[in-house]
Amino acid sequence: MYLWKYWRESRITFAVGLLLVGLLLWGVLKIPVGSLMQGPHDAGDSPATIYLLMAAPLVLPLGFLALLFGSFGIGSDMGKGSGSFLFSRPRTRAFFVWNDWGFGIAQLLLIVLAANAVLVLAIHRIAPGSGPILLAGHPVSMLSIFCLHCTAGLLLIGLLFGLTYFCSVLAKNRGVLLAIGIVVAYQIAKAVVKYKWPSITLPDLTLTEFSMTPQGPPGFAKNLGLEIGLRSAVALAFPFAAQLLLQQRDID
Amino acid sequence: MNDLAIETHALHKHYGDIRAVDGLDMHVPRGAVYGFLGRNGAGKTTTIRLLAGLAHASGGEMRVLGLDPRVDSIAILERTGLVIEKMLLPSMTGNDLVRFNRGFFPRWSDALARKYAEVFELDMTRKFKKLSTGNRTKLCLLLALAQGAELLVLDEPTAGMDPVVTDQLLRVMVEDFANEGRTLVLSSHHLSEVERIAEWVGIIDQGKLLLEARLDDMRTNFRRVRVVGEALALAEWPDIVSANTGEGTTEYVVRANADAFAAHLGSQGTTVLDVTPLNLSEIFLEVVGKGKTNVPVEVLA
Repeated sequence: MYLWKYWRESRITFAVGLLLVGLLLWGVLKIPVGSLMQGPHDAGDSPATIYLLMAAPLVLPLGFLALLFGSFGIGSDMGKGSGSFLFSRPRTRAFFVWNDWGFGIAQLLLIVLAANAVLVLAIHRIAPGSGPILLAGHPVSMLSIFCLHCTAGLLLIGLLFGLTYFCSVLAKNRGVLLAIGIVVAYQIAKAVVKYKWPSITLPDLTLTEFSMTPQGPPGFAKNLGLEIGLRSAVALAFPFAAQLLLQQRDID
Repeated sequence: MNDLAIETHALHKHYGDIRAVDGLDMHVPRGAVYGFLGRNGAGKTTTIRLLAGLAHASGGEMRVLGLDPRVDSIAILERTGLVIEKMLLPSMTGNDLVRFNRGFFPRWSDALARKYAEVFELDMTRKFKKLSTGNRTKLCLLLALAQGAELLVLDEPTAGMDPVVTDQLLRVMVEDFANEGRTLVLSSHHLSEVERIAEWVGIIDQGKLLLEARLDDMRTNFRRVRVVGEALALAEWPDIVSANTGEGTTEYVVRANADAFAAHLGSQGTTVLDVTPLNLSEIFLEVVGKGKTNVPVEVLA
């Protein structure tokens, strides 16, 4: 019922997302990276680096998809004047928020998994013998790189999706613009802080630090678990905030 | 079981300095057709939103089907059909909306949905946003009726509709819903419609319920008494609603005991010209203060 409604609204974006990721990966696979595999392996030219190079172009489209998915659901319905109808169905406001959020994140996760699965296949095509990849001093398997990139991707889209969802509940039809504004403002603030106080670095939205963990020296991004936990908490804070906002608000 | 479908006590809803609902005491008997009357901005829609759990009360008590909307809103919404904003999900067709709605309500009836689609001559394959105002209202009503509600609350259901559709909707509401012993609350400022179907009437103005009574009692008790001479001191008779003086005569509107009032005037040497009944429209105008001198009336019931 309710998930069916969300699926009706988001299915075209989901299909376009998969198509977009497929096209980008097809384009990425055309890059002559195979030559990198011909020399001796080290941290600079490993399959992990190639994985990172091929995954990098996906960040923008994934971020864009996360923003789009965040604009579906309750916020958009309230913007269309359907709030009274929806919230007079016998369900709690939390039900609507977590159904929207859960189904949206599930679709985005599928896209991230599909993109990374294709990347793994591509690496295998380029370097057929790279099953468990061993880097200098870092025993890193293809599976762990895959998991790391999927986690990094999920955290990024989770953050952007949650932010947009919250903004849509807050500002209805102007939610996406507000979310984009916040992301841009954060990036500007990050640059300004780095310029004024070079020793301070605000966290990167794209999680480059995680993705480069296999390439970094020992101890690089050492608090991976803590960072993942913190970023997950921030990403989850947005749907919680949306729920609280809806529960406090009068529906008009 | 409480014999009231809706009950509020000292219900308040404030938006900053604006008192949209200001100490509302409302009593809707189970099984009644209740006309909730008021001018635009009187507080009808806000009251309905409070009862539906869409808005939070600033104070006071309320019960719907014996339950508190602040605690048991899910149980209330399962048993209550609401037509508030006539905006559903714009990109869905009637059939989509039936499919969407079905899963929410344990007593949903596809047979009723099909029946009302036929009765209302609705094109269920058309998207909601492409429907006319009348057909949108019909679809809203279809969904509310098919959910098998015990209580149906309609906010201005006939606004913007032609007389034929209005007549059709009123007939369905009364014959198919209210005659089954279920409760119908109809908010409106179209007095003739309410007068046609309502058994009980509540008149709200500036967030306060000024009058609540059986319509028959109102028709029986409200009288206009026209006399020769100037107005008497209003404090002398508690049932006076208004008193208007002009061209040597005074018109009193009393909410009860008109004969006794006329006799009282006669005993003071005043000549009573006539005592006439009022229709709902006239009662409404008097109660909401359209008369030159108005005394707020108490609830009759």
